[in-house]
Amino acid sequence: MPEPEITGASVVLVGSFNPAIFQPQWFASQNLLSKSEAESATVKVIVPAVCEFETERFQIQVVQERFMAMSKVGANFEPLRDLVVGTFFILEHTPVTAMGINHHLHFQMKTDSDWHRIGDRLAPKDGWNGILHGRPGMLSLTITTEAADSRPKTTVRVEPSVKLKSGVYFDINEHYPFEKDDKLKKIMTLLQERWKEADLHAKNIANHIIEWAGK
Amino acid sequence: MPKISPTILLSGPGNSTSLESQSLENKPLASPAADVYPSNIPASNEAVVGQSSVLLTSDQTSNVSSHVQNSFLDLKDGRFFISNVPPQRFTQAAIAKGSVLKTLQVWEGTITGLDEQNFTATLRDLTKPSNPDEQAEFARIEVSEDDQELLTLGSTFYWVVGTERTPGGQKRNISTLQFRRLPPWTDNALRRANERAALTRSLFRSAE
Repeated sequence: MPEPEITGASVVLVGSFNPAIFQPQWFASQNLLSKSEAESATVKVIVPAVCEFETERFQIQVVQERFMAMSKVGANFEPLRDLVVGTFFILEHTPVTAMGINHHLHFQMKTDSDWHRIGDRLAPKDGWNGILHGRPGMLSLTITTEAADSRPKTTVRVEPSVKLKSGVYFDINEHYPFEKDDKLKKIMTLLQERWKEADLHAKNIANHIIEWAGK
Repeated sequence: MPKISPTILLSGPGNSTSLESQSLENKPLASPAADVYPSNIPASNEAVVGQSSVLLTSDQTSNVSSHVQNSFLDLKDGRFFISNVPPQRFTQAAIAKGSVLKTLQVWEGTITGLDEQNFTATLRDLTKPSNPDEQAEFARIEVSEDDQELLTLGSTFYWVVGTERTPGGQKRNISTLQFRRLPPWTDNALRRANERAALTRSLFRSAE
């Protein structure tokens, strides 16, 4: 099974947030980040409508309708989950209507032809050859499936990697909608429960496509 | 004064829970090794690369194994495991700015014993959960100053082993300890929730 060269994960929450709260110092005061990690954070912007900063391990970005926390490249993902769970156990009254667990995987193909084969299999060019000049290429493909049998709605985006030459990028989103009355603790418990499975699910999807395309 | 350049990732439909890479300007890669974001977004010259990492503060010439009296990290078939044989050297230096870490193996440790110099832990292999739990000993000085206060019986940490690729293309082995930061009542609440979920699942199974 091929291993991704570059990996990352992010959690996105949709709801109603006060971006100005989510400053590095707040995370340190709640013992969710160490003092030194918070003090060395690079703040990109903190205004009422947007907050964005990054630390050595995470990037946090909050607007009024969405919260996003992302792990840095190659980092161990578990602290990301801990950070989000800890944050929203403290802010337990934040209205949240949906949660996304996202995995970002970059695979290095051995050859250019292996790389082209993936794009050609996912998006056959027969219909485009002749009507488009040059060599048509797949820029992005998104496939989605609805939730069923206790599996979440899953959306997969495949693109040429911009980080690896002859690389393929997979972005796998598991989407969980919630009712207005659902308590945030229930949502965070789901995040805790699904974390490992979501990681495996993402890798299985990517590996399946790479192996299928190679046949 | 660091340059401030927002990188808004959260555009797109209001209820979307995925990242929208199209919202960023399409800048060429500055240097692959300097790009610390995993999403499919070209690195920007203005993007701030990761600063020096956690957490190990001991002498750069020392070796993890020299502090792990009874347990060592060894590498076989591309995987790390704990053995009684002194293994290859691991660097405890902080990850250099601009470097990219590739995590190879992760254990979750729970502290089971403490003395003035060292602590012992039970390690659960998160990379391959079917592996049995192991016991290991670490030196207190391997833990960052910020995390020293977290050195208590029962506290948990991640032991991450990986490779670091510097902007210059150099590769070295890296070993870090990252202590979990969850409010204690959060951990308890989650544990209770997980127990309830497991009970519910078993009730459903027995009813089938």
